[in-house]
Amino acid sequence: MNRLQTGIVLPAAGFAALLALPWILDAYTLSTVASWLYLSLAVLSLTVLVGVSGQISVGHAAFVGASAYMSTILVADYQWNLWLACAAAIVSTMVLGAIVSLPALRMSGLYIAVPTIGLALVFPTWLQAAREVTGGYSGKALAVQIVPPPWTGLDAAAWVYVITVIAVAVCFVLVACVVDSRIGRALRAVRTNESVAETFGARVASLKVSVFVLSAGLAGVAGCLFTLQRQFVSPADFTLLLAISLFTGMAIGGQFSVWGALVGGAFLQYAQGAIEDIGVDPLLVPALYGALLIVIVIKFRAGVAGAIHTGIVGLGRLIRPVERGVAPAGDRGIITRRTS
Amino acid sequence: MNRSRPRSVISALACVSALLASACGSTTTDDASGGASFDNCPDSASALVKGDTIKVATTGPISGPYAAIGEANRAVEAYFNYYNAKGGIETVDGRKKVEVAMFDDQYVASKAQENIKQAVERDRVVAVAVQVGTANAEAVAPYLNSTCVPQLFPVSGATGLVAEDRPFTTQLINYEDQATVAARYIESQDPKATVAVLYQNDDLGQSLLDGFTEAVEGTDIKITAEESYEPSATTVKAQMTTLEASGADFLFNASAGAACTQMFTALKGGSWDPQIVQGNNCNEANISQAPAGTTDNISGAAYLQSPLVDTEGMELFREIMESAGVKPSSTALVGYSNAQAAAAAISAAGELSSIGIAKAAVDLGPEPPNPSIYLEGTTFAPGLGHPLLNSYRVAEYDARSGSFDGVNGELITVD
Repeated sequence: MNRLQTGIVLPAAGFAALLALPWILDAYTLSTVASWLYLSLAVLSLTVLVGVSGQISVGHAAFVGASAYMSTILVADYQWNLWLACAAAIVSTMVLGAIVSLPALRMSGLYIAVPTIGLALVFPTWLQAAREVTGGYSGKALAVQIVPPPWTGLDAAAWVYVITVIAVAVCFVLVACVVDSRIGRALRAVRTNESVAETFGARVASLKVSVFVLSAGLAGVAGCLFTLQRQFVSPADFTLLLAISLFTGMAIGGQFSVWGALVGGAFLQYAQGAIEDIGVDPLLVPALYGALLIVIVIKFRAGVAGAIHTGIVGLGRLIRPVERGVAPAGDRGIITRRTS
Repeated sequence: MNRSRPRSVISALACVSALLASACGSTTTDDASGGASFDNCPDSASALVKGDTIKVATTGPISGPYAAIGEANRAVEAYFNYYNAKGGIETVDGRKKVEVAMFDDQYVASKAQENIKQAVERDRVVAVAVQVGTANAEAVAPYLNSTCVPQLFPVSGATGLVAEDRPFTTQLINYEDQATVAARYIESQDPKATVAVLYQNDDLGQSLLDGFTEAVEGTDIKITAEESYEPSATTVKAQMTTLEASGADFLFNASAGAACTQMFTALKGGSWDPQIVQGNNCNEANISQAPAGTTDNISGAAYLQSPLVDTEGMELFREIMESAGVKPSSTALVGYSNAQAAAAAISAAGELSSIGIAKAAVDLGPEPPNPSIYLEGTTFAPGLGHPLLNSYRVAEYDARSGSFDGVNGELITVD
């Protein structure tokens, strides 16, 4: 495939296909696709942070939750306009991301994971404690109905789906651009070796904070999509379990691949049902996830996207054994390759 | 940088289109449930069940950290499977088997929503028969009421789950009523009693505390101390020390789970010996782990017989549970009793449709659907906007058998 196909035509075709789904699928299947896209965006927020910049966060469930809660509360209790509430929630989540990123300036690797895992643990407990504001354990409903504009001819669920597709597409394209830009290359350099990156002029501290803010912003958009889709938030939706699931999704999709996040999201949305459908006791599903994660970490460190990339490259070599001097696709941000 | 410019343009365009789409787009209207009523329903809600099988759904934590509570769902499935094997349950249209689609939501509200949507839109269930969890029930109640699919007897004691404009949601019991029963019982024992309260700082504890505070208003009962603990707390010793200093005659226990056992452990170390009164929040499993000698003085609001007694109803319950491989615990009993109420609504429905079943569900009573598992004298109050059960017996805990015995307990009716 040439650059035009992989960079523009394929994503554009995918986007058009997704936009056509409300006229093809039944309401339930459409809602699962919307949920897949929301989860993919949440996984993408981790990919940006972990895969591209090499920082670890286990607290992204809290970012998604903070945005979902804030947008819901602003609409339900303060009668804000839904879109204004979403914008405020996303900006606030970015500020939260900036605050959480500060320890990252002095720490690296697993040491950053510790404060973020604390955030993921404390967040649902705090939601229950701040019952007056959050509705506590029982959760909080959006308390308004979303009414699509009449010219669309869509029902509310299909309208939310269309908004989801557009928002997710914008975020993916934005991230693909960032990864492919000078900033993206600087981030990869920071991931590989901070000192060397600094020697070459990369401003490590501001890069680290910026990527945390970007990542939190993406998680914030995912949180708003959650509010739109579910119209109900509760502490159990944003526990450490979600944080770990997002991490699993990222590992499976491929931590170095932007578009791999879609695979990770699909895994989170559909795998459990598929595993149960073949007759596995639901109690064993987490164990299966664990086993899968171990296999991926040992055998496919670049996830499904990496495996596909390796397969395509291998196939290319079989067909055209002598071809030298072509830059690897991984550096173009479509399927990014591990450089360390 | 040049390489990324075309994509930047695309993203900018996409951003603009998204903003435009949002800005000129949708509005919101108040009232998410859309003011549900029996008269404002899609055609599917009044479609009669064809064939000899009725499809219902149940969702709960079958896996995950709260899988133990999923016993209630397994009990629901076991209950219907038992009667299916005997030819089904009686309905207005003859005997029907009840096919239960059991979903796992891991106690997560968004997963429960997805499960219920699948059940309604893909599996075309006629009703949701017993789901587990307050947040989960709240999350799907607007959807089920707008699609007119009955939400039959979720396992939740939360106040506010049922309302006049949620005619498709029915609830068996709530915690506020149980707190009222506890307050009335204390008043009957000592009209000028002093009461200390230990409550879990969540909706369960708060509902019990609110119900209790409201019930003692205007009486001579005095709440002399209130202490709360977080659901994640590993000990309640400090709170119990403060409560002990009040020297109250009664302790209203609004704790649950391991903290409840901890409460008894703290009592063991002190010199305070209050009479303990509660709802059914702290169950036999928690109390049986408490130190000996601390559990002689507990009374609780009860409506079901103990799962351990040898009555006809409980023997059948144990037989059904054991044949399905489900532990006949208090949790399973709650699922079982709610499933019985759901089955009673299906049997009593004047027409076998979603609307017919929902109408029958709010009209159950005044006798409980299957009196053989309820304590004698307990009654249902048919109608919208309140839980159906409106009377409880005060049960005494018997440390030797490890169960609450409410057979001869005082019968208290709540308004």
